[in-house]
Amino acid sequence: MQAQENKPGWYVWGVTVMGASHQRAGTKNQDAIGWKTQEKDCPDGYILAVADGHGSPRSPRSADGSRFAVQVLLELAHDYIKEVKEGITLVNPFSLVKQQVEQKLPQDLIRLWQERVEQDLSQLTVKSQSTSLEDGLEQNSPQANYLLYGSTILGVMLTSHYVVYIQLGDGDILTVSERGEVSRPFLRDPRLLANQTTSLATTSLTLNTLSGSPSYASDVYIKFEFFQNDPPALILVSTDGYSNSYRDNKAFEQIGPDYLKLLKAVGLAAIKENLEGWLNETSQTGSGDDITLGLMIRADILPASEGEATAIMIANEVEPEKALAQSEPTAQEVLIQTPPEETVE
Amino acid sequence: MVTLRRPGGEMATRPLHFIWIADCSGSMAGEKIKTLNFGIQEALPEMRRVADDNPFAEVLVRAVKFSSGAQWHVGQPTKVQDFKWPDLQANGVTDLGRAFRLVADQLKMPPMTDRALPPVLVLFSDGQPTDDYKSSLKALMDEPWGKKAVRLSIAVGDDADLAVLQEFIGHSELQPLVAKNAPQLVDYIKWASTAVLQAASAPPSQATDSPQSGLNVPLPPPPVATAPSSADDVW
Repeated sequence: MQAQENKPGWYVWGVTVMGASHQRAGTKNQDAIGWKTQEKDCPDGYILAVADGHGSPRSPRSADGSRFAVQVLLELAHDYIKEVKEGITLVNPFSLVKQQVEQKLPQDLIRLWQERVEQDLSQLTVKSQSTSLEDGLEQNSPQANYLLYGSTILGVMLTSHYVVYIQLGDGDILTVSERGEVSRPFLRDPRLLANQTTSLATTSLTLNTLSGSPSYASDVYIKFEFFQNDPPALILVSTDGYSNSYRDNKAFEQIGPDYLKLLKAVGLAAIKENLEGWLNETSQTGSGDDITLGLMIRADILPASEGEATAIMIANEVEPEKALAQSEPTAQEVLIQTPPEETVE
Repeated sequence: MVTLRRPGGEMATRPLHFIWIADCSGSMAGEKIKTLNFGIQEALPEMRRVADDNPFAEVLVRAVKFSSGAQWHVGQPTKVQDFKWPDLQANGVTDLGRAFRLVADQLKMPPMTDRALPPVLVLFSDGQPTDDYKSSLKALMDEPWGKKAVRLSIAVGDDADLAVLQEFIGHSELQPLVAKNAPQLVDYIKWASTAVLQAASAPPSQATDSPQSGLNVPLPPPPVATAPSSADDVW
């Protein structure tokens, strides 16, 4: 989808809300979300990343783990989009590049996330030498240490020619056609029943590739699709708190055509005004869990006036980002929405 | 601000199926079955309180009884607020395997759905199974929801086959609770129907293949058994 002058090809946006049950228990939101857009910080495409920390007693640092997962995927996807563009030659056609991405990206994702965790742990270990806060941390095996930060990760990389879906753990990626038809890039993993999930913490780097099918690096699902006809009109990426709040899969997947209709009718600005309230209501009425929803919206489905309205919205959002960039230089490329630290009385 | 209808279909809390599996063989007659009936009746108000405190789980209670054969004692999954316990009578042998089959059938998908919370299965028995329980237990554990269920067992008296009860639990982290007298049985019933229910109502995510994976739902420790006041106070 080529960007028109002064109008993006896609809009990318999302929200995370703390679960109603977590509010009652005084615990943190374990989810994280982040995105990059062609207009701001990713010259050749759009990226959306969503993660859900486990929040279990064995994963006390999973809120950090989910944040690291989002940061790592955004940076990695940014590099891959660039590499794919530069890597396509006569002797290295798209099909080969596709295979390379499907094989290598999952491995890089896990490796970089683990490195990020190790880096954080080493800083904690230094601190813990003078406090008893992290007793026993150094004695844990590497895998047990990764579990401290355990998280899922879901993401989408989008350019004018292709889309890459990636998922490790529970949560949902829905694609919605212009006619409102919903599909999923991945079948639901039958192992992910009840509260079980695959995890960045426990996935090995063993590679298992099935050509012509979604590829697996152990538990990582990845699918690279070229746009043969029309790209999807809308892509929705959410943590499992969202789908677990609906009576069944049909009721959940209804969000696809519903969001599409709303976007076509009233535009993104109106969705932005309402989304946080909807997700809070959903958590309170349904699962009680943290809920995060990211949207990738093809610009041409929005009302004609959206370009101006949304430009104003984005301009309004620049100020908070600038403030963030001042305190954290690396955050200039990334907008990660995790709630501020809660103080527990 | 423009207020719009929330996208999506009907919302719902997640179902949590709680199933009592009760031995009512002849050896349970007398004080044992009377205490079992009393213990479950006494636990109901507390179960309702736990359910009210965990509004995001819909607690649905049922019960299986087994002696000569097995039947649903309360077959319809019933909201805990509406659940009533009909007293059990004791007579017959101990067809535990048939009880496992009944439960296994209900843990298939359907009628279970993939958005449920881990079921809680609580088995009471005071003796040895008299049918082929092993193949039935395997059938139960072959169901994904059977495997994911929180499985507890409570031995009523000293003659229960603890090895069988441990097989049902299926985790080395948890052992059968042995109730040697009425107060202990009542305490264990209360623990299973409150503390365990609480834990299953809001379980945190568990990573598959974790090196420390054990119980699907982290459970609080069971109550310490009250020592019998006299030798007569022991079954």
